[in-house]
Amino acid sequence: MSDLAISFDPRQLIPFIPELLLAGGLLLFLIVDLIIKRRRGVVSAFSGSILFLLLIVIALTGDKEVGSYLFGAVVQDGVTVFFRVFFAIGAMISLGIMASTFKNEGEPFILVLSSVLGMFILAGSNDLVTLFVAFELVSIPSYVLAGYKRQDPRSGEASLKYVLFGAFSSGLMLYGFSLLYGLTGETGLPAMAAGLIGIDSHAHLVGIVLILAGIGYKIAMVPMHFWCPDVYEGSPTAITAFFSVLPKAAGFAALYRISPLIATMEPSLGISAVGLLTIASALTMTFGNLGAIWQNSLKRLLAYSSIAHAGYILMGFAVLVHPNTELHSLATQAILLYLVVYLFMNLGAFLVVDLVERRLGGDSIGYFRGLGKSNPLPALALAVFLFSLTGLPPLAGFIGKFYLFAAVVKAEMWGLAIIGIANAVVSLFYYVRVIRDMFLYDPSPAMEPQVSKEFNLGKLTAALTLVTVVPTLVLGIWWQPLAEWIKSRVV
Amino acid sequence: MNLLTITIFLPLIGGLAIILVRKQAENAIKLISLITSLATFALSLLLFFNFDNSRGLYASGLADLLQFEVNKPWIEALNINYHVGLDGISLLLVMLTTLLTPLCIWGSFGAIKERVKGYYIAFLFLETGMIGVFAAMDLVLFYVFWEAMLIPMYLLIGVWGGPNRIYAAVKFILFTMVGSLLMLVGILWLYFNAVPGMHTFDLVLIFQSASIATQAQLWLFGAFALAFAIKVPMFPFHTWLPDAHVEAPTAGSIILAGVLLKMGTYGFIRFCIPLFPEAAREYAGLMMILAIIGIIYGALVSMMQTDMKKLVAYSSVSHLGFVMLGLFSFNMQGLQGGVIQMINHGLSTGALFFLVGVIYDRRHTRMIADYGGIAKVMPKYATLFMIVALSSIGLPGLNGFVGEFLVLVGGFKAHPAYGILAATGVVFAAIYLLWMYQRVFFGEITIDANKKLLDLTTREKVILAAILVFIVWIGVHPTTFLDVSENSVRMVLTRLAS
Repeated sequence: MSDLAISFDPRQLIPFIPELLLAGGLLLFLIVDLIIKRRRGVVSAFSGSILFLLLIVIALTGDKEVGSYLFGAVVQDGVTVFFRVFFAIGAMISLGIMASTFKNEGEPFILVLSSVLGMFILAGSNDLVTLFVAFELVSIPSYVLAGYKRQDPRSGEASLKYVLFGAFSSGLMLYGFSLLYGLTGETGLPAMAAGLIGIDSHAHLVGIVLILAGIGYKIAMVPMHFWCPDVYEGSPTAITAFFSVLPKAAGFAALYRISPLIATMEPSLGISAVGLLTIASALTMTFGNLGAIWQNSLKRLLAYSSIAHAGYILMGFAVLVHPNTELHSLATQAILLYLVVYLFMNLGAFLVVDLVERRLGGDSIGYFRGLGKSNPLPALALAVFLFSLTGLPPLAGFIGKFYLFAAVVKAEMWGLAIIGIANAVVSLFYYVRVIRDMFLYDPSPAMEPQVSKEFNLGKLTAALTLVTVVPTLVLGIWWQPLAEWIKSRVV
Repeated sequence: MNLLTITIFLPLIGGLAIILVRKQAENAIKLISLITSLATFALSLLLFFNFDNSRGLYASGLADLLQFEVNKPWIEALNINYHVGLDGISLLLVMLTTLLTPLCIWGSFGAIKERVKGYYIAFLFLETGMIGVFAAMDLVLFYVFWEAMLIPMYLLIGVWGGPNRIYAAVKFILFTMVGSLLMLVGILWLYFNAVPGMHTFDLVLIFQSASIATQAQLWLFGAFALAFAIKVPMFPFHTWLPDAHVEAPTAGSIILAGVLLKMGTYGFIRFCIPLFPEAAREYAGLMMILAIIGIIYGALVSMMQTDMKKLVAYSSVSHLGFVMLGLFSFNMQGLQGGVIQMINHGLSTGALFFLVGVIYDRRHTRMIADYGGIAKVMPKYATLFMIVALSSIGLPGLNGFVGEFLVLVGGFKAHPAYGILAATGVVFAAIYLLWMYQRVFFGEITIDANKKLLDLTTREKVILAAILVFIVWIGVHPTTFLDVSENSVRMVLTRLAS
């Protein structure tokens, strides 16, 4: 590592400004949280959102400085910028959703902020050590957040499960790292990828599979998905909304950085990189969708559906490790676009579920029965999100799937395309079931008095609904600016 | 603004306008939707009168045939365009849509009493989707319209339908979705491979290039044909249809039978046959055999029905079999017959569903056994029912005859056995419709409730009269409509021959 010989130049930190600001802001929050006495949650959410707004602006202006920094540990490219903006937007909406639940607590917001700091670093990590540290920074606050409902044993269970699974998979990932390090003697990703080419050792395959398992835990990839429904169900719903999008996207950011390593796998090892990810993708979406069919709790249903969506996104990664490099730009665009669309529709869906849970008292399907009559607006919003998650045009979910399928078709991976289609149909079944219950059924007699009351949205929730519904509708019809922006990030 | 664009989006605008109206103001809602749909019909008449039948006489692609064309970039990143245009075939289907929609809306004034606002919004959104499907000349645009219609149709069946509506609605949306997703993969393949050196969804360009290898054609034909065969529906994909038709509200059934099924047959004549001619020739035998099975099977099942609406629903399977037989006979008579039979079926079956709805509104039963001798108390109703039934059977002088005759000639030319077998379907149609007519209208009135039935109201008379005008017009002077589609059909034949 000849970089070490170069003396440290403070200018190296310039592209790192968003992360430094976020870290500084985090410290400030810790102090301010001690001073403020009332409405700490609302204040935290509001000031946190302003901080993220600032970060978006800075991230966008730092667009030009492409290259690797800090002795090659961090890389700044279009995708880094994309993820920074993505995480910031997602965090803003998540903070907003949390503000309704944690009106008077500051801690959850600080935990989310530190987790997001990890994500920011992860987005640009170019070295296994950076990647691992960032990965843990994303995870550890999440464990605490999952257990935040201290009185609720399910929340405790969620937290414990999350920690145990997390520790286990981190271990697997580290072991994978060590194998690859042993093979190449490098920790920097580009050098490592170069070193791995032509290595015909089973340690190579095992290392890759273990790393994939570690990252797979974060994105709830089958078979590393077992924690997901329980953690989603046990955590406070506002937190689940955050879990279902941001740490998951962080996992995908890590997978994106790792993908050159995966791509070095030769078919002579027994399975090609494309084959490995194709299997992962097919299993993940199929298990997710089949699991979702049987769920009665909306949180669990959305948990399984988020597993399925991870499977769809993995279709893009299967193309991304394809030996034909011409496909990579298209695959990356598809992945990033899908993440944006998924951010809005999934956070939106959780927003409505959270609202119904807070107002009516539960998230089982019974609480949603007849919602279309008693509370048409939230029901309509949820219907939009669910139809979008299904991938029906003219909603945003459609264009997400459209891009992913385009990448798969371009790579002529017909088997995966067919499995993807079959899964989209299965998913239609359970999403439509919820819509059917909301609009076509009356509340069950036993729940009628509890469920059929009209509630008001509250200003904050109404605003957040707009923030998520509008992109879900508009991006389905007019996604040209987004597509162009993402394209310019990738090329 | 382009006339066609306005025609497509006017119903959508009307639907959005209704969103702003209070839900208690039901009369205003009804009025807005009726006026919007009538205005859309007026616009489509303008399209019809401005349409130049002589354009594209020896066309080999869509480029020379399209009129009222607009081609503007939509999503430049993927080279997706807002490209719409009409050739003769799509013009006729757009006309059918815009004619049936106001009649359905007006016909629903009495029948729909709950969630009135949502109903008319869904109906107008649906109309935009339907016109869009027939006018879209960009594959993504086509797909978006094709799928976007699912949501309003799902709601129309599921919210305002009959007792078993929820099952029917879910079945409808699942069946349709299975087919269309495979088509999406086919569309993406065309995007990457159809035009060498260029990625495009533009149908006109894909028609111009069309150098698709035979092997690929066979696959693509399969992917597209499944989507369309489910929609038509061809035997054995027809099982969703009786449920959806029977459970949908009357207006929903009319639109379903009148227009939505035509999207399937339109898909065959617009995409499957001209884009993949080699595959089409390869599969023609299979398609014709399935069509004939549909004709006979649908007719036999109709004969056995005790519920009038189910009878009409199954008759659709039979009639659409005629359309498919015509389309795959690959000669001028067969294809023209298939096109005109699409329109005929929309008019006749639409009218039959409306007539069944009329008596259902009065007695709340559709069972044939609950009636008998109705002709005595409802003479006008009985007369109009007879005319419509005869048009559906194919009495010379009415529209059905023209279509079925042409299809049979075309089928006979393709293979005499096809013509002969299909002709039995005409006989069966006479049996099931006339037998039902006899049991419902003739004889003594045995049930007291039937003694005081009201005859047709003015509204119902006007609606039926509007359809009858076209039933007779096509029957007496079909060339008005055959001329419109002739050049487009010839283009399809040209592509098949090359």
